[in-house]
This record gives sequence, structure tokens and C-alpha cells, in this order.
Amino acid sequence: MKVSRRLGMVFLSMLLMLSLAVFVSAAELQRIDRTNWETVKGLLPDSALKWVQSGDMVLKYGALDYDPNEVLPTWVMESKKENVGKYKLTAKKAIVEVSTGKAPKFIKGIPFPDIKIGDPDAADKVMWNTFYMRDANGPIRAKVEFRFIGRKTGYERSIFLDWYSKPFGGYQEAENWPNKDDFESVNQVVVTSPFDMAGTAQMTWRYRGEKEDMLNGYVPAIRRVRRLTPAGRSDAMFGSDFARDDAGYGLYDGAIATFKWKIIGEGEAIGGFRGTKLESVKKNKDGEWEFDFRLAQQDFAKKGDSSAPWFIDSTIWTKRPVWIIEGIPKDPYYNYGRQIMYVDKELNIGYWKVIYDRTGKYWKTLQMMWGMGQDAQKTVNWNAALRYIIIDERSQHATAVDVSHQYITGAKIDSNQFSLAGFTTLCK
Amino acid sequence: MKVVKCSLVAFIFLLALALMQNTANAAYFQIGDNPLEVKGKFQARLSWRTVESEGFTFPHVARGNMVQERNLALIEFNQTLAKQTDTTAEVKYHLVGRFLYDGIYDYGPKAFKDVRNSNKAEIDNFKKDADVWEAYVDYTKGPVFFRVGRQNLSWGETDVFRLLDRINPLDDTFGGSFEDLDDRRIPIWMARGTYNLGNVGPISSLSLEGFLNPGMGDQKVSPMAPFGTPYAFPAPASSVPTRIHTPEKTFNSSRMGVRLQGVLADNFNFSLAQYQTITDSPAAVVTFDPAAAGGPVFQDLQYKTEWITGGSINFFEPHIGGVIRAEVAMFWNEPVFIPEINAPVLFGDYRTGDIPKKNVLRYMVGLDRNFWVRTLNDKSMFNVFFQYFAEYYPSYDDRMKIPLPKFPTGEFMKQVRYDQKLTMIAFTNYMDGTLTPQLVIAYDPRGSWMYIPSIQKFIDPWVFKVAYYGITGKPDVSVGILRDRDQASFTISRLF
Repeated sequence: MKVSRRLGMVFLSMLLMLSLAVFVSAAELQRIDRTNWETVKGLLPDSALKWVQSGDMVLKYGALDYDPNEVLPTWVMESKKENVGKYKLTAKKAIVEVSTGKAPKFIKGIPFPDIKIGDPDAADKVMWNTFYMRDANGPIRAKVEFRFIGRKTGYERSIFLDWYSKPFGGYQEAENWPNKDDFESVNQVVVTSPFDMAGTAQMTWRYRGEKEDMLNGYVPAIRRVRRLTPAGRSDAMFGSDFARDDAGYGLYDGAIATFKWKIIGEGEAIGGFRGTKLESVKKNKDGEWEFDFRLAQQDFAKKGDSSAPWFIDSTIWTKRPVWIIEGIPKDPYYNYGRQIMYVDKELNIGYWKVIYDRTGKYWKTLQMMWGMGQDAQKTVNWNAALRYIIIDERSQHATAVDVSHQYITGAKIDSNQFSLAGFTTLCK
Repeated sequence: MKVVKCSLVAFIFLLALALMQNTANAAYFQIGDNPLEVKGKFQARLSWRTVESEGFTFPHVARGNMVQERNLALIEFNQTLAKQTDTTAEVKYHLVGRFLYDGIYDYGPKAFKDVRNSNKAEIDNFKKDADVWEAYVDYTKGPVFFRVGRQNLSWGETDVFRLLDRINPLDDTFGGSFEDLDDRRIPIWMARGTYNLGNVGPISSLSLEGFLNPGMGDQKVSPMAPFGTPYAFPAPASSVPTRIHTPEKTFNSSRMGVRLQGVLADNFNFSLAQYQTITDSPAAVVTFDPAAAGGPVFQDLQYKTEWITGGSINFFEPHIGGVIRAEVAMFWNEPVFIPEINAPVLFGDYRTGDIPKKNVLRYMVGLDRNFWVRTLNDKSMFNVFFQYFAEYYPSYDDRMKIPLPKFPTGEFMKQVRYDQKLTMIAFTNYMDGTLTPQLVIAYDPRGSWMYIPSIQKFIDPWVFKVAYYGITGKPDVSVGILRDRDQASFTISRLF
């Protein structure tokens, strides 16, 4: 009896401590809606604030259970010390070594850990950091869903595609990979569904230095690889609200030199994360690191309190230090005008992008949700751009780009896949 | 029998499961570690003639009559059996079943029912088909890739008309140039391999590709539309028996070839190819054989092999902001038609004809450009592809003809020494990519036009397409030969 009472006390204490822990976590998350929107005033773009004011978006606002700055890949953490003052930009915004003036063979982690606001190249350097932050996660293989959502129609349809990318910088192992073509990175997008689009594919070779990207597309209707012009980067992808250049960790995926960048502010903004806890990452049988996004998939399926059909209420919004960057395209035919990005100073990832048209009128806002991952043994850290949502306010239509179906970092992708011959083998 | 029944039951079960999806997305069935992807489409197309028949076209069909009621079902299976790792190869398979039926011979205009009644066996065979359309296995390991099975292989840079892209035969019996090239391609059994050589000197992404479609097997050729079918060439019924000859079943009749492709100076994609194929159109020769049953005169249509040597290049030109592409090929010893040689009987010379051959040079220069017209579309670009095609006979013979008769004289149409065509394809999309208007134009400066405006709308899982196919111009010039085949079409597809 005495023993069982003691055991019962121990059990009850544990239960109490656990509920306290939960209570503490829950207490740190505040519901922000139209009744208390002032809480987040100044912490998100005006366009997004209006969503909260109108009830379109309801936020869960509070602290994460971890410091995301402590869960970056090891080589990124190391580069924050090793790369201080190591690189600079040329007049054409290419990266060169300060000591030699030449393009480096390999850049570990992020190239510019020490951004100074008075530096005329500061904004370009922030954008370069976002590129390398993605690259630091190594080769990626993901299953991506483009969801088309209308305000009145709700969910309309989906396009599914496979994404493959391989960086030649940023990622520690990439230093030893042969790279005679002097690529900065390569990637492929292959549509798998619906039937009439399946097989449509695009491959991008991005070179180091000042060379233009090379784009090739596979068109099932002609069963051939077709050379594409770089002019289409601001064109709608698959007719969605999302342009090719809207991708990327910094919410921009084009050539840095094709924009004029400027830091127009710094401060704090709320950034979106999936859950207060780290995502689980496990090694699969091929030695790759796979995110376990089952919880994310459950979250994405839930209808929350936001009145706009495209928002996910389960996103956790937390305050982060950001650069506010303005980008203006140099190409007079680029479909967007001015763009404002909110980029995390420490994590080098983007949270918001506000897009204006060429006449200067507001047009769209893009928000991102992130997944920070760690394995159970806490030996590796990864991060994933889990969900992009871009809202076209004129047409009241949105596209959500969702990678929760499968996301593998450190993927074992043979370089031959990114050759011209390899590209055609992906196709029917 | 049991195995077949089980397979049929399994097939129907999978199909039913896939169709239960009310979206156009593929269905996945987990089999072991690797999901089996099942997808496909059902399609029905109705076409109506919009001009009166003329000349030698048979049967004469009045404007407004249905000329096509084509039903198509495609079901596709894809599965990766093994993923590529450091020590193992990637192996996957792809299987497409195709089912086809054109109903105009059964419930269309009386004219086509009469065509069927007068030629039941051939038309009944022609109007329907059920086939394993594509079936191949892919093997990939590092720089090596093999694809073995029934497949399509397309080389070159051209749209609308083929130039280097003549490996697979084409089925022009259900619409000819009115139809997308890919819909007309007939997959063939072949082994194909690619080896990525990587960087070699100034060339990057250099690869060597080869293919073999053995001549000893079932050699598929471009079929000819039976007399009286809506897309047959305008010609009177042959007054003599017609015999069709495919190439001999020997290795020498194989389709086979190699191609080298790569990138020069990080901008110029090029390819060089040498291959043997089988001509799309058979060579016509009149045989005089008094001893043969049904003779003494026969029209023999012989599919011949020919060698093609060619190359292509494309590059992005930043000053014009477009992609320039070009292709050139020499067709060695291509059969030509010189009536005095092919059909001496027609000139009172009672002997079997011969098939003369000429080298033909064909080339194309094209420009692809996309641009914004924001007043018309502020979300998606307009894509425009221009091409200039030319065909030249270096050793031209004034007697060369096209083996089709002019109406009403019956004399053969002239084959010119230098022929040219211009084409344009333009499209954009609206409504979040679900509405696609497109215009295709082909123009022969000697006096004929083909134009195909169309609009396609996707409402998941349905696709609706309305198109008009028009030809105008001289009836003995290029596409103008089919100028009385204008039609309007409505196509509905259910994707799964």
C-alpha cells in the first residue's frame, strides 16, 4: 500500500510537471485576430496586417521551443566565423575572394556573415546569403504540390511535381564534387500530375560568375528538350500566381545582378514556422535525411479560423530580426516592379515579400513557412522551405506551394541526372 | 485463361480505383517499397466538315457533316523498381495501354457507312484498335542509360513539320497535319542507350546516344488511310490492284542510328546525327506482270529505308531576347516519283517501273520568343515560335512529280526543286493556367495556308477543346492538297 501510494505520488508529480510544461508552452502562444491586431503592428507588412484586421488571417504568435539560430547546419555555423571579410562582390555582383580578386572554387556555408548597413553592396550580399543558405542544405529531392485556391471557390486543383537540386557551394560535401562546368547550382522540376501536363520539365544550370543561366525545358507534346529563354522568370509558373523567381530561400531565385537591391530598413518581423518544436529528421536506408512531415500534412488539412481559404492557422509566428530589402528589376520587361523582402538576419531565410506592379501599385504578397529539422541524436541540423503562399490581391486568388509530401536533404542525386542526356531520361 | 482473367480483373479494379478520384491527379498504390502510379485519360473528339468536298475527294461530304467521332482511352502505369545508389542502378518501367474507336463508320453520315459496307474488313480493322502502346524499362546507372521496349524517340528542333525527327512512323490517317505531332507518333520496339561523356575539351554535357529498332521484327510503318476515309489523300480509286510492301525483315532494314549532343561555350546546344529510318510515304511503282494473278498491272507501294545525316543547334541571343534554333539534314537516296521511270506503263511502255532516288537537303531556321502584352494579359507571357523550312533537290530532275493527281486532268502534281514553308505557333494562358488559346499557322509562299486556332479549358478533371482547322490556297501546293478538309472539332477529355 505504502509503495503504491508512493508510486502514485511520483506519477501524479510527473503528470503535473508535464501539464505545467504544456501550459507554459501554450501560454506563450497568443491568438492574434481582428480584435487584437495591434499586437503585431509593425511586425509584418501592411498588406498582411490588413489580413489580420479583416479576419482573413488568424495568427498563433509566440516563442519557439528552441533558438533557430542554434540549429543551423554545422558548416553554416562555422562559416559565420570563417568567412568574415573573406569575400566581396564585383561590379556585376559576382562573388570573388578579397585576397585574390578571383571567383572562389568553393564557398562553405554563407559567404557574407558580417553585413554592414552602410555597405553599398549590403543588400546584394544578404540575397547571396539566402542563396547559399539553401545550398547549405545540400542536394534536395522533394515532392511539391501547387495548390490553386480562390477566395470564393476555395481549393480548385493541384499540380504535382518532383524537385531535384544540387548545389556546388554552401554544402560541406560539395567541396569535393567535380565541377568542370563551374556551376553554382543546378535544379530540375518535373511535373508528375495531372495527366495532360505530366512529363513537362525544366532544368536550370546556374553558373558561377557572370554567365547567364541556361534553361532547358522538356515538352511532352513534342517529346524533346527545348531551349528556353531566361525572359520567362517573371512569367506565371503553370498559370499559377507564383513566378519562377518567387522561389528561393530569400523569396527570389533569379540572377542577383538583374536587380538593384537596397536595404531600406531593419528591425523585427514575425516569421512563420511549422510548430513550436523542431521537425524530426531521420536517415533513410540510402543515407539521406528525410523530414518527417506527417504532422505538417495533418496541419495543412485542417480548416482553421482564418476566413481566407488559403491560410494555415497552425503556423507559429515568432518575432525574428530582419533586414527589409527593396529589389527593383533592371529588365524593363520584367513583370513585377518593386519588391520588398523581409529576410532573417541570422537565419538568412525570407518570411515576406510584397510585390508591386510596374506602375507601382500593390499587387501580391508572398509568405513562407519554415521547418527547422534535427535528428533524434542532435547530430545534424537542416531546414526546409515548407510552404510558400502567394496571394494575388487583385484576383483574390492564391497559390500554395507545399513540400510536405516528401522532402529529402543530403539527397544522393547522381550529377549525370543534370546533364542534357540525363534530363531527357527523366522524361517519357 | 485464369491468368488473363485475373489480369483483366486487376486492371478493371485499378482503373475503377483511379477513376474514383474526382481530380485529374494520378492514383498511387503502394506495392512493396515503391508506389505504382496509375493515370490516364478518356477522350472523345467530334469533327464536322465546314466546306464542301471537291475534286477527287471521296466520298463527297456536304458541309456540316460529321467526319470524325474518335474515342480514345489511355491508361498509364509507372513504377520505380529500384533507386539509384552508389552501388545499384535505377530501374523503372512505363506501360501505356491504348484503346481507340472511331464511330463514323457505324453511326456517322451515310457516305461513310457506305465506305464501310464496300470494304468491311479493312474499315473494321481501321476504325478500332487496342494495343499495348508504350511498354519499356529504363535502366540508369551513373553516365549510362538504357531504355528497352516500345517507345518514341524524337531528335531535332522542329515543330509542326518533321525534319530530323523521323525515327518513329507517323499515323496521319486520323487528321494528318491537323493533329499534334505527338498524337500521331507510333511507338516502335527499340533499344536505346545514352552515355554521358561529360566535359570533353570545350564541349560540356557531351553525350552519345544510339538506338536500334531491329528490321527482323515487326516493322511498323506510317499507315495509309484507306480509300474513302475522311483524311485519305484526294485521288480516285486505283483501277489496278494495290500491294503494300514493307522493308525486308533483315538487319539491314533496321531503323538505327547515333547522335552526339553537347553544349559549346555554355550557350550553344548542338547535335550531330546519322541514322537510318523508313520513309513516311511509300514509293509508288507500277509493276507489269502478266503472269501474276489479278495482273498484269499492279500499283506497288514500297516503304524504303533511307539514311539521314544532320545536325541542329540552338542558342539564346540576348540582343533579341530569344532562342534561335536551326536544323539541317541530308536525306540520302530518298525515293522520288518520276512517272516515266516509276510507271512506264502509263506511257505505253509495258514493263515494270523502277524507283529513282535523289538526295534531298532539308533545313529549318527558327526563332522562339516570349514577351508581355500586358493590355491583353498581365499575368502570363505570350509565347511565339517562328520557323522557316526549306527543301532542296541538288540533282533535280524536271520530270519529278508528286504521286497525286490534279483535278480534273489527272496529271501528277509538280515537285519543285526548292520548296519552302513558314510556320508560327503562338499561345498564352489565362484563368490561372486553365484557359489556353493557341494559333498555329503554316504558309507555303507558292500559295497555300493552314491555320488552326484553338482554345482549351481545364476544369478539373475535365479538359474541353474547341478548334478550327482550315486550309486555303492552291489545291496542288503543299498543304493546299487537302484544302477541302476544313473542319471544326470539339474534344472532351476526362483525366485521371
